[in-house]
Amino acid sequence: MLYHQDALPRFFIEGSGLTRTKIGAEFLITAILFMPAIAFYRLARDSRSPMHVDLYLAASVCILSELFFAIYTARHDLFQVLGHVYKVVAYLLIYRAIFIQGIREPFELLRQQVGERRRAEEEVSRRKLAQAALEKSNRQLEDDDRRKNELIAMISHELRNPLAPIATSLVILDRAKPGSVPAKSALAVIGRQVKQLTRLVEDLLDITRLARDKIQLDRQRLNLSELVERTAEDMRSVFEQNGVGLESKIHSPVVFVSGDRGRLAQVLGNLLQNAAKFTPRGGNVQIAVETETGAAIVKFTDTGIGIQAGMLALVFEPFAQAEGGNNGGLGLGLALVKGLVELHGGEVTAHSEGPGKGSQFVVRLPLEQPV
Amino acid sequence: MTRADALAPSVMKRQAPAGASLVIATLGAFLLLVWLYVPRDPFAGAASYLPFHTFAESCSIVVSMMIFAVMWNAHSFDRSSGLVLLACAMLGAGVLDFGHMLSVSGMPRFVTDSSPDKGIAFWLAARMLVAAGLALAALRLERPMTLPGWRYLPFGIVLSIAALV
Repeated sequence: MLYHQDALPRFFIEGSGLTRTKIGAEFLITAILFMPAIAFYRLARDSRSPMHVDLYLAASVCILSELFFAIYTARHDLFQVLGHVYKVVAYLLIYRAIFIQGIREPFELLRQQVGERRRAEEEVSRRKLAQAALEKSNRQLEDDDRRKNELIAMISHELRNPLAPIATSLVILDRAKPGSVPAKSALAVIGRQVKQLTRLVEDLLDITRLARDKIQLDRQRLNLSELVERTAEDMRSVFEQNGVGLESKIHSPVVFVSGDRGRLAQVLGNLLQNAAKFTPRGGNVQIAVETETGAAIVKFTDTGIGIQAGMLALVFEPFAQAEGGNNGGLGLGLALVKGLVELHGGEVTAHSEGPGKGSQFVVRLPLEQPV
Repeated sequence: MTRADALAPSVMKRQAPAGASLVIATLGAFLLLVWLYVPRDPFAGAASYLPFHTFAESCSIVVSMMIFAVMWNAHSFDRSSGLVLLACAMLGAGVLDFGHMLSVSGMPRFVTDSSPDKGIAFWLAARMLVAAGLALAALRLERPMTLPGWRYLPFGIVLSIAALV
């Protein structure tokens, strides 16, 4: 076309317009374009894909553009202008179809896949967390079940222990003469064992009440120093019986706290009994009352068997027993102490340098200012 | 899987062709209206027509090249060999439109003197290439490319046609 223009057929004659060759060529192109227009229409109708719709629209606008170029008469007339505009529109539609297919759709697909993967990962993570929680809960349940069985065995054992001497004493009572020495001894045994049984049952009931918040404190303003002195005196016989010395150091004779006299006496009694039990013959226990800013402090220091570092955190747990087996109790004493002290708004802590180095229990209670 | 998904698996929002048909009908009616009622020579000569023509053809050429560039580089994502053929045809059409733009009468000499017949010859060749590209795209739209190097064949053919013209 560039070099052999003479060989080209005539397409346009000035004055008379387009030649048959040009019009025929335009109609031939239009006829060819009808085929993709129909094909794309069918695809668009069935698939409703935006790419097919755009290609259908592009082929149809191309046809209209060709029609403009088949009917113009002047070289610069309006048909030429509109034909060019339609052509650009058709090209833009093809571009949109290609862009959708080549860039937008893969991008959307990737975005969808990333979203699905993220959702799947979140689901897996959620399931893992749920499974871990379930496994933890299972372990807890298994632990609880094991502890329950141990507890039942321990309670059964502790409740059965006094029954054998009681049964023996009943046989002696049946055979011995009333008022005789064996009868009196048998009655004393029965009395001691019933007292032991009563204490066990009371402790169990108290720990249950604490767990269910059923303990009601009969609060009153009381002198803690006086209560400590009195409880120490009450317990002195136990210490003498065990061959353990008991020393009271009351720094302030008047230390007022608000509390339930019976329950605080129970706390002090339990701690003293504990000290007496775990201090070997010849050892010493000291009970001291001090005051600090806003707090009354009672310290129980013994020269007993001490506590292992690992057990310090567990001594206040219900049914916790010192290593070495059964020490003649349910392991509820310190748990009751903790529960009752906390009920009074105070705290109790245990300290020990280790086995054989004694131990110290410190009770802190809110101080009540003297009136 | 729906028939639509089987025909064109897509994550894009579905669209009915009815709206497109309405657009085509409107454009067709506009063509008729212009044919019947509007005066034919709004530019009154080549002096004001040529800038418009150059602008319109430049737009066509830019869009043609963009179509080719997008499809050529995105071919690995494409499932359709028809669209690769169309993209190659658009490259050829862009080259021929460039020849057409420079050859219409009123434009400066482009190798040989400009004339209406020279311009129309480039035009018809470009239009024929686009029509053939669309027809091949319609025929091979659902067919995947078998080999990655396959796209160089239509690319070479189209460039040869453009060079021949």
